[in-house]
Amino acid sequence: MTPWRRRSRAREDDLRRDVRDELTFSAEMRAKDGRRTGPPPAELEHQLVRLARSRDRHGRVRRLLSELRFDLVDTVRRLRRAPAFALGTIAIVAIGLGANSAVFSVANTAFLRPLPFADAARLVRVQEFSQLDGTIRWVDGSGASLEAMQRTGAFAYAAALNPVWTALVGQGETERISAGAVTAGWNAALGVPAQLGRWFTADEEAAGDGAGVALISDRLWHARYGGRTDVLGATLAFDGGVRTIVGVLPPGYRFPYDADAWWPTRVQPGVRGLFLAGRLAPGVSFEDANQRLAALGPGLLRDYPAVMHGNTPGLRPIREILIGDEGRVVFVLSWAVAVLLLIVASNVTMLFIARMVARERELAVRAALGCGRARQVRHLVTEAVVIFAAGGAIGLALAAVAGRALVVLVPHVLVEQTSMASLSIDWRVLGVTAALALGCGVVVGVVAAWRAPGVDLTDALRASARAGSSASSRRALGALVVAELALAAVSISTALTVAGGLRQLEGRDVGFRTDDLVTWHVELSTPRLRSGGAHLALADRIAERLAPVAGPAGVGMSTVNPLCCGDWGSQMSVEGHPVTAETANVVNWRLVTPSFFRALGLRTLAGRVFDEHDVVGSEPVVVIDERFARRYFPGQRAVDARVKRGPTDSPNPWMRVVGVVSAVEDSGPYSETWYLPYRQRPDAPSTEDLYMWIRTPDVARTFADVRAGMREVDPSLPVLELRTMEDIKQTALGQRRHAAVAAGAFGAAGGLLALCGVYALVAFVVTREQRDMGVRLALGATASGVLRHVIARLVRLGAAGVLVGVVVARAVEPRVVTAMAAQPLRFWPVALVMAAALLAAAAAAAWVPARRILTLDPMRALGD
Amino acid sequence: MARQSREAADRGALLRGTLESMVLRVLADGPDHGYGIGARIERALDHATPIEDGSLYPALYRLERRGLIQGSWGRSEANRRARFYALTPKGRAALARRTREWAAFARAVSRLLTGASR
Repeated sequence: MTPWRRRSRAREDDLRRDVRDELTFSAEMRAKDGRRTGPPPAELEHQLVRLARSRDRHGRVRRLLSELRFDLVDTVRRLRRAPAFALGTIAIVAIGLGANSAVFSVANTAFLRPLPFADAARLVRVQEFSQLDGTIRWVDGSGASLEAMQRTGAFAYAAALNPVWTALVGQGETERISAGAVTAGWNAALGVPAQLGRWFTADEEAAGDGAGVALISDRLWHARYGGRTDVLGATLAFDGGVRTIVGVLPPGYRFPYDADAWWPTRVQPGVRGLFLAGRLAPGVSFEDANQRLAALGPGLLRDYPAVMHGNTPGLRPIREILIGDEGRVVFVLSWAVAVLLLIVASNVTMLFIARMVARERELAVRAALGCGRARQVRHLVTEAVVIFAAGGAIGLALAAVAGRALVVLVPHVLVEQTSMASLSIDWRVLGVTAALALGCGVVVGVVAAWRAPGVDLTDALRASARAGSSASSRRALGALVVAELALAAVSISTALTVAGGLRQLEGRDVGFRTDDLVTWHVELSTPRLRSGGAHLALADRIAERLAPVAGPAGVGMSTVNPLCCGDWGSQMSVEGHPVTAETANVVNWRLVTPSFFRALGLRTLAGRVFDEHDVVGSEPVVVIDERFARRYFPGQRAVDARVKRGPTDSPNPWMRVVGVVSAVEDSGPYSETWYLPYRQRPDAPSTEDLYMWIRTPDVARTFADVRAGMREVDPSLPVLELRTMEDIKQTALGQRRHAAVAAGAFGAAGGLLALCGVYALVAFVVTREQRDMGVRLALGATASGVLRHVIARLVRLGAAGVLVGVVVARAVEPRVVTAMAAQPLRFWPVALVMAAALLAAAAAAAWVPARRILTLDPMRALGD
Repeated sequence: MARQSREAADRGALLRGTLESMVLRVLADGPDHGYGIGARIERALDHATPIEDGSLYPALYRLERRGLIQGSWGRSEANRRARFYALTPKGRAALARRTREWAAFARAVSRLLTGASR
């Protein structure tokens, strides 16, 4: 029989005896009164036992509830009597839990909230990748990969979106918009219905561009049609032709970018720059589909060498695409706030213990009056839970208020492509905050009850008689000193790693000066600007018009901004370097004007850069960067070597290397870069974008000059993203910068709280040891000797704490550095300085109160 | 909710409900053991109806389960172990309510039976 069963059996026996006693008593009394009597009927006894059982159960619950209510009322009453303690603890709990709620609401949006697609778990993106230097590099997709997706049979739907930059003509002013041409199954893959009208029919999808239909965005619907429902059937003139509107997409449909119109299309295998999406077929796993697609890779490389550039297609989960590396930053923040919460919890625990010690006598009296240990523990736990609940509620309110500001911590692709821009305090955030508050409350209450003197009756009475410190509470306070300093060390160290690493990123050398370099770009993809080299003439006019603004360096022009946009790459061959199957020789591909090198300030390391003679028809030439030279011509002369696009036997002409320039940081997918003369390959597809640079001593004035000049050249051509390169460099760090600020704030708050905690704790411990010090002084110890002894003990405890903290911080540091993609700081010097500062703070905390006591008369110190 | 439906069921079981009300009323004058409660009710009813243990004790246990009375073991006048019942604050409130309801009910029944309708 289990003990529990035995106990319940015993209780049952008691009940039966009680019922029998009661009935017997009644019968006896009746007999005494001289009234008729008889044995109580057996069924009455059964009925009463049954009733008694449920009566007692109800009674227990009622007692528990009433005690809980009493505890709550009592707790609130006592907290109101100690407003400083209550407000202080609630405030620090609000900081700790508020920070956790806020960061969790970010994590919630990034990882937990459902994406605005039907069954997003089965939605994947297909991209092409190469494995170069051990790192995987993803690029966009091609028609060939789309065809391969369809051949695998692993997808219920496989479709592509071809980004289009177009214009709405007629109906007043020409409006430039971005659009997406989508292949059959695009909507079925994503599963987002139109808010008005419909998606394309199978016939329209089959007809492709010829169907002459379009869906428009919610924005365009309101801007052009005032949100009227008769928009269906209306026609809209794009610069590629007139289309009939068949539907309006819901607001926030921005996947994979913020377009205003969509129409059906069909793509040939040779088309690049596609966004490929697929919905896994029922019963097909992600890995399964990935393997089937990978199996087709070699065939694609063989059949479409020029399209694939040595890359093969692979699957990526949609959430991974949307979150990217920025998700890891959220984990760093979670770590930072978790440490902060631990500091808060240990501070509150310490305050509890200190308060219990101060109330030792009261507690002893309570105990003597019959307040049991279990009751006392429950009392403390109730008090802690009330404080954490109040702090949690305030923290949640703070997090809700801060929600708007915290959106910057959500991975930006997720915000841009799914409109999940709001951090709502939903049931998950509420639940996690409540769970943290309850959990911390219970733990703090239990630990305080366990380690505080006074809860145990005999211990408390003895302690109050001695008015000294009990050994167990002394050990507990010592352990808290260690814990507080360890947490302070971890908190501060994490903050330093994040903030310091980011400072290095901000100040990193990208290969050219960025602060006085103004940049902007234009899109040259419309037929009007493409026909007959119109874009070249336009580039000339811009260069000419802005020459006075640009000064002697001129206006630098390129098809790609190295710091941000565009990932044009090219498969290539180097003469005398056989291409093996494992090495996909791919380089970043940039078409540039001669002034590009001058405007950015790239150093010419060998040979020359381009000049005005490098045009169509002249000798094909190329300028390579130093990384290219190092990789393919190590220790050799690169100038005059010959390279060509595509494999060695491709029909492309050999190009002569005329110069080597210094390398720049490049957001492109490859590590080496080559530059081709803009005027030698005027029809390359990458010339649809034109990026420009002017180096200037007066940025603001140049902005105005550029705007004015561009308007003069072509008023209908929008000047896009006019800003400095420094801006772009820092924007690329966007979320990480905000995260670093947040992590720094959490770290500073944690460090400060921990130091306050340590200071209060040490002061408290020293005061508690007053009697001990008095004894030593009375026995003839010198004041300075006693002081040394007290401080030495605290420094020993503090050193243990700092050591633990530094070890933990060291273990965590590499992860933090990776997540922030930051440069590691030199860990040990920073850790040593921090450790010394923390220990000094602890020693100072001990010195002040100890000093005060030592100046007292020994007899008073003893007697107090 | 549950309590209300139970209360309604009690009102339906007129007799049982009446006995419970009488127990509460008697205990309002002071705590007593089960036999004493029964005897006091019988006395109040001029011994018109005997109060059987078979209905009194289940009523007492039910009242205690609902927290209207509280039982505890004590010693009788003859120093016998006996369970004493006392009215709880909740029981006192229930008694006041039942008294009001009973008065209204009795008035209505009386009006009906004596034909004193307007």
